[in-house]
Amino acid sequence: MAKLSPIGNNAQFINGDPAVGAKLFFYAAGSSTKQTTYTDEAGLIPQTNPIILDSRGEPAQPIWLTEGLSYKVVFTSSTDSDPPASPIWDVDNVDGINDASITLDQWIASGVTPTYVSATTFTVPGDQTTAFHANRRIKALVTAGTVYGYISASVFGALTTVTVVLDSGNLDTGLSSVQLGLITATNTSIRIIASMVADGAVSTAAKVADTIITPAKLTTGRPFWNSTSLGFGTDTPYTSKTTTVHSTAGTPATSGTADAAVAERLTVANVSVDKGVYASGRHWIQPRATANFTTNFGIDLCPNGGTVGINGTEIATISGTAPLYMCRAWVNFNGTGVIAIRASGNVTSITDNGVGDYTANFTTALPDANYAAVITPGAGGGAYGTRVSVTATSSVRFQTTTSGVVDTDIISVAVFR
Amino acid sequence: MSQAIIYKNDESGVSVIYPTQEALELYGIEAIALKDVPHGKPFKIIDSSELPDRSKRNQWDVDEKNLTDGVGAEYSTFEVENANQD
Repeated sequence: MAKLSPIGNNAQFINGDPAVGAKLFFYAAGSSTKQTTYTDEAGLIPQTNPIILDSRGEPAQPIWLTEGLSYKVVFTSSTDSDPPASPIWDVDNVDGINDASITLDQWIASGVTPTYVSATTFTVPGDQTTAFHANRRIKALVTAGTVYGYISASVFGALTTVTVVLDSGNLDTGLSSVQLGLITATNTSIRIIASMVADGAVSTAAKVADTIITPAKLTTGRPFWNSTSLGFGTDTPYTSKTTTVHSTAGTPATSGTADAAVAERLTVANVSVDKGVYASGRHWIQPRATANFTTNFGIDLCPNGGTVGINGTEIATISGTAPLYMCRAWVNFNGTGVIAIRASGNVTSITDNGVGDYTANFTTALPDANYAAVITPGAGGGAYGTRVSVTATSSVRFQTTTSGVVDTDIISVAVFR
Repeated sequence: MSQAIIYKNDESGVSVIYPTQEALELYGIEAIALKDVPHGKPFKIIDSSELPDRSKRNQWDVDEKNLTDGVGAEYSTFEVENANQD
């Protein structure tokens, strides 16, 4: 199916007279390669190329263009030949009327010839600063082929000097044409254009207040970089939230400023809260000075209230501001007959040293022997007192007593440090 | 019955070590004996049913020649945090 040509189907005139015998050449758009047209909508009967106009300056048959193809139409006198040496007029990029298969190119011709100046600069005649405005994308043809980039500056003097930042490659003396991105960078029709442009190549005017993304940094692969503020939801953006992703598990570094074991970092006021994973899968969190890992800081959980739980179980309900110290080891056992340990924590064993004389042996040592051992005897056996005889980092020895030592059925030991 | 560890203490009496269930599951009785028996003292692992009547607890005695299961090690704690980390 062919589409009617929008050009050439009416009478043509030269100096007011019908263009009798004049010629219409049809080429593929942007080229000098002839492209066939037809006399019928079915696209079965080709026109001559060129079409010779009749005594009224009209084509003898309607001109139909191949659907989906673009043409360049050149009008010449009767004496010109292919390729025309002296066209009267020509029109490029002509599509058939209502040709829905034609897609719009995202690049448009600049209409001016660029002159190479340097690897990042060229000039164009006249004041072209409106079309060649900062942050607009460009497509240029150089010796090596096509290069892409955006305009970083455009200044008019005698000429318009255009400075560009190319995605890759450079301008060179082979610079022959420049095309402009269809979407401009000013008053753009795309609301989130900032996210579509490399290196933050978008003017302030193009940004919408709460959709600013700038500057992106393709060369480092970091979309948010270099003093970027990033906010989520309706929060005010913070000036330094850094998220790094390392795949290496390990213990946190204890000095320096580099740590490959950091999986995520939140930095505020030169202090980083780093998070990582041990090889076992257990996680660690360490607040420390960003510029010196030997300086560590603490963490407050729920500083203004609330509770802290583990495995869904609340571990402490705290009121007031007095510091909280945890029990480091504990055991409950029957000290009569064959010693029977009912339950324990951080205790490997009870040593029965004799009547009413016991030692609780710790699984993991305490930092020193200056801990508080709280020992209570039960009612059975008659003991009503206890005494601690030896404190060591690895154990505590004690006796349950009346006037002397005596075995007791319920003995509770708790060690605090 | 449960197992216990015996050794001759510095007062010439007999000390008996009863492991906690928690430690037995993690380390086993031999490792507990090495850790909790004082350094250099020979020990024996027995069934607690073999222990004599406790009414004469302070008269218990044992011939060290029969304490043949090992000697208390120099260390006296397990460091479990490292196992959790790496």
